[in-house]
Amino acid sequence: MELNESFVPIKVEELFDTAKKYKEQGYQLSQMMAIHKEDDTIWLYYTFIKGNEVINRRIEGVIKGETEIPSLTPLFIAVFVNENEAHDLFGVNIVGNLIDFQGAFYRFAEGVEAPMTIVSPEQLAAREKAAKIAKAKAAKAAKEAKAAKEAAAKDTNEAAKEDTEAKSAAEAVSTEASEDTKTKEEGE
Amino acid sequence: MGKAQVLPFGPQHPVLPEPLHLDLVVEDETVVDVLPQIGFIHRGLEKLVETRDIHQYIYVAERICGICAFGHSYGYAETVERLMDVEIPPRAQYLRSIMHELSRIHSHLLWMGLAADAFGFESLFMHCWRLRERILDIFEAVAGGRVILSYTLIGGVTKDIDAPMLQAIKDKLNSIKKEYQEICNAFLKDTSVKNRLVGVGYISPEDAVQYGMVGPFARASNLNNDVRCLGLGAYGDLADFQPILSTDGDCYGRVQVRAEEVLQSISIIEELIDKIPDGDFYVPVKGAPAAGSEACSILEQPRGEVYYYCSGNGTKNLERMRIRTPTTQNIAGMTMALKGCDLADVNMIVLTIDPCISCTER
Repeated sequence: MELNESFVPIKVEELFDTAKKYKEQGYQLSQMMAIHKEDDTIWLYYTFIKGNEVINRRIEGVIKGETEIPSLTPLFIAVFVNENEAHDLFGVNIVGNLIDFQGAFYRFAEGVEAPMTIVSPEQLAAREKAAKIAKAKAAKAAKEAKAAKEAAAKDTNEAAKEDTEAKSAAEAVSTEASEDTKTKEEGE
Repeated sequence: MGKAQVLPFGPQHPVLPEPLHLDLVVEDETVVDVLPQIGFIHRGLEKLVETRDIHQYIYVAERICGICAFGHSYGYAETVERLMDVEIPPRAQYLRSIMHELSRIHSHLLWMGLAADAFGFESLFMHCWRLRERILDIFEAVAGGRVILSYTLIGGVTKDIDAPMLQAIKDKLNSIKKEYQEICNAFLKDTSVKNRLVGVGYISPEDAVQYGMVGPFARASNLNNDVRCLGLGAYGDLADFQPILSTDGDCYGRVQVRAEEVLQSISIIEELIDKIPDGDFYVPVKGAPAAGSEACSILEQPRGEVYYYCSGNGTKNLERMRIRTPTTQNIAGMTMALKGCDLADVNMIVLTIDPCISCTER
């Protein structure tokens, strides 16, 4: 059997009702996690599992400390660990967590907040590298497309030229042939 | 009824192998409420994907936990392979499954030793760990390491296990089986052991569903969520896989499930060794995951279902790697099992979920 995974976007306001529907259908909320994106927004993933069905619902564009995310602990109490983690590590504003540690779930060095949203120099370098690679790939693709276009145009020109030459040659042959016939007739 | 008091339990406690703190609200000798707390050993290992490439990170993944070391490298590699559409050779799948089942045996034996120690059966603890050493001997013979194996690679495994070695593994497991059955008798039939386990920390099947429990903890409450039933990878070639379930729902049921799973893992390994196909054990994986690509996978580790997620950003570093471990999912169920128990039973109940805080915090 294969694992049937899917990633589907969802709006914040639809989250609770959708989770409720999944629960009624016998799905378990396997996990909830956050991803810090390049534009400084956060994407949240909620994974519902039933047998080999793994459905990942994604909330995009969450703003750190601002966007209010309803807690799913009233439906799936086990997710309280993940929600506290998303709050402490990413600064996600979870509302209504039944076991809310108010930012004291993980202990960090003094002055550190939401450490998973800190863009490290390595991450910055990786992003720049990715942008460079993407740019180089796009340039290469454009160059190849241009070359292919030029080659196609050249082929068309050459084919046309060859056609013209063949036509002239054929005309020359037919002229010669007719002249030969004329001379023969005159001789007779 | 006495006045309610809060009793701190852990993070440093003789019965706890890893740092978990519980605020136990007790009235006389009865626990009436519990507030769990972790967060003492968070290491930020998930953030390391930003500085380690996909191949290097496998060595970080297996250091998330000393007991689930192989499982994490296996789960991580499988997810990256799904991310990059890499199909590994069937022999590599078999080798991974054999090593994974060996890991399950060593993890369960380790846990059984700790449980025996917790209920005061010192000699049983020593016998469990003595047998576990024999499994570690197999690891050492195959991979060179006893705890951190570095056996998995993205695309397969680092080395093949030849036929004589596979036969040696079978022989060793066969020799362990008889001794292990004697240990099982002590765990499952000894009266003093039963007195400490039967009826303690009961969780009904309905509560197991409600609290989203996974692994042997859930299977002891007759909830089948064993990922191996899905038949992913080499598990799909097993003639008949039936999960070990118990209807007891108490500490005894949890011991019983784990005790029987050791014998089940031995049978799985024997069957996989008999059926292992010839061929390559590794396929080279080059390039980097595409920007915007994402994949996930699930794996049945000794403590239960683990969820892995990876997303690519066009470089050899992943954008994000996520592991949701079984203990994360079982903490809520553990607090539920603790409510209403005697103070003297707290250590047994906490141990029977087999908490792994290193995995949980990463």
